Amino acid sequence: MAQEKALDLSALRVELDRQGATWRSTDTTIAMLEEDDRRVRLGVPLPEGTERQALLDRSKVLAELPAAAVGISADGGEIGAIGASFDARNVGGNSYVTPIKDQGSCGSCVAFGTVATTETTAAFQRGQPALKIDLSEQQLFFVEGPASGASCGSGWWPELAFGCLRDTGVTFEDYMPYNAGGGGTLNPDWPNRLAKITGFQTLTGNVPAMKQHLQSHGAISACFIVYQDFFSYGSGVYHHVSGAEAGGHCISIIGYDDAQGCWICKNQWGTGWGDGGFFRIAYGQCGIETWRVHGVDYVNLRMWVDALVRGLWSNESADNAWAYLDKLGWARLAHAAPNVNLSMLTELTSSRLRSQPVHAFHDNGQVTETYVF
Amino acid sequence: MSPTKVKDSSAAPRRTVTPADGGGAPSPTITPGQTAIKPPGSNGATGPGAPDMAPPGIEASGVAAVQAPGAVSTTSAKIGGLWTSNNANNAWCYLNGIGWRKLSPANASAHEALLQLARLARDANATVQSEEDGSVIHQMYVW
Repeated sequence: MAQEKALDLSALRVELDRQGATWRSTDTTIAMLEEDDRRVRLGVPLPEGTERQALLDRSKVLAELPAAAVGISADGGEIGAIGASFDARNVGGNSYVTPIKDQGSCGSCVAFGTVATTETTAAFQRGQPALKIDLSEQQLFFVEGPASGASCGSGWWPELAFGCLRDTGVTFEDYMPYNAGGGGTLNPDWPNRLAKITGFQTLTGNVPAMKQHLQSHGAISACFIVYQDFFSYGSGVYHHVSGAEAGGHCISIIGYDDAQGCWICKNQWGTGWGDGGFFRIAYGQCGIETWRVHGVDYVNLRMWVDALVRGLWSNESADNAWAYLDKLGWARLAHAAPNVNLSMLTELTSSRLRSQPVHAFHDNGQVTETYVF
Repeated sequence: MSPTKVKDSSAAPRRTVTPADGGGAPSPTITPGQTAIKPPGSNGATGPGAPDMAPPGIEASGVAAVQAPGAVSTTSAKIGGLWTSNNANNAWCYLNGIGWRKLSPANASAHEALLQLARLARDANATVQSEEDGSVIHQMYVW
């Protein structure tokens, strides 16, 4: 296939002005790439023509519904009033969103969109904005993914990625760093440095449930159809103005704003694209609500931490002392044997008294091993 | 037998606190004074329970909020003293400005855990938030 030139941004700007668009284009790092290099980043295979048109049509219909419409949640319950806006980057002045990444020249967007959603959910559900875990897209896409068809050229599906995150989990970036070319070695200790989701919900086409899940979990993942003008998005609320269809893409939605009528999203094309790597897309655009939208239930973490003990607690039940570890929150001290709980409590009171970190193994909400030096 | 020393001897009318479930074990009889005993709080904990408060300056949310066993009324104070007699599960702590409170004797390991927390708070001059019913402390946070 012949390489096409970078996008003609001057012509696009004229068109944006002519149509009174709500967004601005800019010379993004992605817009400067040639056509094949742009397209390869779009790693969600597009559905067939009629199905594709149907999801676009449904998305537009949903956008016409009143923002305060009552909905049904993924588990069948009625969704009541939902706030008019949410942004996981500013919840009471705290951000629960991990830094922008760069998927490079590979159709691995599904790994990045699902991992970003998992990272934000892990911090948000614990109420710990400082818990900025950095998970390994490399393991998810290049180690777990190939068994279900993942590759740079063909892309992948978010349901399959979430299935791996649930069944196997994924280690941290430092145990297998990302390389768009694949390869690398998984640290053999990876089962002891692991994030694993308990399950995930399908929220496709259910706007109230999407907003509710954002309010309660911090992030969801979604797919949408990318058109050529999207590559040069710089700021504002994106809607398709010009350019042909380029492919399907997966990202993490981290908020919404009813006043602006848009979703707030985290992309993974580096900070040189979009609004520091983020973008806003208008409700009803490009199938953003109607194509493979998912939310994570809960993220279990298994890892060693060095953490200050911010608080301790016990009630009158046997072996039920807990510690509040900095950046992680409450964790129950182990209680498999009669004296373990009290032994750990002794060590943690020492750590708290000296305001020194405890080196602790945290396993799914429980402290199972401690060092105090 | 009861503790005979007070943290502040200038304070003080002696006052006997009769624990509701002291089980016949003795109780401390001397207080530093200002023993305004709070009305009984609610103990919403069922099963082993989990903490439902966050350290000062941190908003309780996420799993802590999800696992909250129920609203609890808590008392904030520093630990002015500790006392133990030659009886099973009979350690007490003195909540400054409030008075002597027995640590729940419901379970031996829990009693020891609560005593460790009270000891830590005393050593670190830290504030405890405790849920108590006027005589017995059922749960305790140390920040």
